[in-house]
Amino acid sequence: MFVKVETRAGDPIQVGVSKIVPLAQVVRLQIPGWLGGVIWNRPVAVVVKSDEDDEQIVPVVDVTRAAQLAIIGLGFFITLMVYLLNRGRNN
Amino acid sequence: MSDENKVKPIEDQLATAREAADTTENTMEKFLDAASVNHVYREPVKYGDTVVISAAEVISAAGFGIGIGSGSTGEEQEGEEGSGAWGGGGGGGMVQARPVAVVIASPEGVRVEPVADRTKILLAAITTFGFMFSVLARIKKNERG
Repeated sequence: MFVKVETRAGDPIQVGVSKIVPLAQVVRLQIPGWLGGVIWNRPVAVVVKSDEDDEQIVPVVDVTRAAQLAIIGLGFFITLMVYLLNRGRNN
Repeated sequence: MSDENKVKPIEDQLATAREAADTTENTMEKFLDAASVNHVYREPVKYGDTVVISAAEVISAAGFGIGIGSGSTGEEQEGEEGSGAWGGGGGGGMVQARPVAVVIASPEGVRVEPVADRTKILLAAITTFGFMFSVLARIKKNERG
């Protein structure tokens, strides 16, 4: 086992007539034979179950991570475009 | 030679080394417990009809190392064979948690409110602009040269 990704459900929480089941994604990175590793645990969604057997999945969005990736991606894209345009102009 | 300076029997030394290995194993098991959902979603907090559950991203990393060795010189010194065993270990780790969202359950329904970490976003922006600036400055410099 090197990288293991799994989604785990927590204990249901009763709120009024609804039941909330939290879901988390666990990414486990371990090198076989080595003691130690990295565990990345993040929330993914909550499942809301009402008494009428109605199930609703509410996703948990990580806006900080999304904003970071958007800024870094945009930065790389703009830099690459400027570089390619400049190279084309020089040729 | 005093009793304190006497070398422990090899069995005692190996037992100590095994004890160290067991401690490392237990620590490793505790580290693997970090994969529990309970570390991501905290205990619900009730406020009137509303229940609030905080959700966080938890990253934990750990590394351990142990070494056990034994040997014999094959020579007899002061009536005892020159032998010994040794063991050593070390480790380190870190746990980082960052709030991601808050789950709010009220009679109106369940909603998830995201938590934005402005400092991290700003740091990403500064780093990216710094990278862009340095690359573009190099391009300009090459144009002139």
